[in-house]
Amino acid sequence: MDKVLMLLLQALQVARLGNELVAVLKPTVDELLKDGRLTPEEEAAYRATYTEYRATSPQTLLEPQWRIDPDPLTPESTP
Amino acid sequence: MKKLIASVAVIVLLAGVAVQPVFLSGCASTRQLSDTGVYAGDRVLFTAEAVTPTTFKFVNDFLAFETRNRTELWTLSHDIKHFADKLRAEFPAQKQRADELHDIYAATKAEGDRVKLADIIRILENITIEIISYQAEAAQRGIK
Repeated sequence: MDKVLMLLLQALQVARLGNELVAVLKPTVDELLKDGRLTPEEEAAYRATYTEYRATSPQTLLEPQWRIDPDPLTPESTP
Repeated sequence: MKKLIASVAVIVLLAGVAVQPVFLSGCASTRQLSDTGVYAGDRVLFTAEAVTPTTFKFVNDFLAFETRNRTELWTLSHDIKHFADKLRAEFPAQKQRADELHDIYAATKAEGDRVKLADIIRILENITIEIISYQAEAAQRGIK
């Protein structure tokens, strides 16, 4: 599956379809293809990200994008 | 999980979705854990700590995307706002539940708590996939 995915990514690059996306996805694909174990430092980085999420996410929930607004008016709902 | 990530990556590529890098970098590695790392080989705890912040960021960015493009998206389909509103209403409780189950399992390491944590993580992963499908729909109409 990993090799198939890599071939697909290469094909997409050749076809110039979504080059930016390929660039963004590459780290994940690289990670999937890595062998061996995570190092203690890599695990510590995951822990640090999680700790930051726990500290900051409650505040994020108060931001405007989390507010439920009424649906926009549509022509059929306009009086 | 490895297949899931790979499948999502393919779907995302084919759909041309503008995926946030955080989603990709935050996916749980499928590599083995270190015996001496902070997770001490506990795969469920590691996956929870990798997936939860990633999903939260993904949901938050999707809601910002929906807010920013609401008029255009509403014209395209009412389903996207309604799905976003469902997330607004339900996701905070799901996030809180995931955080609580993480803390409980981290403290007890009990099998029953491990199963509960794994179940909520699966729910979060499914939310991410659902978001991708909506973003793909929008991207196909040129809204990114």
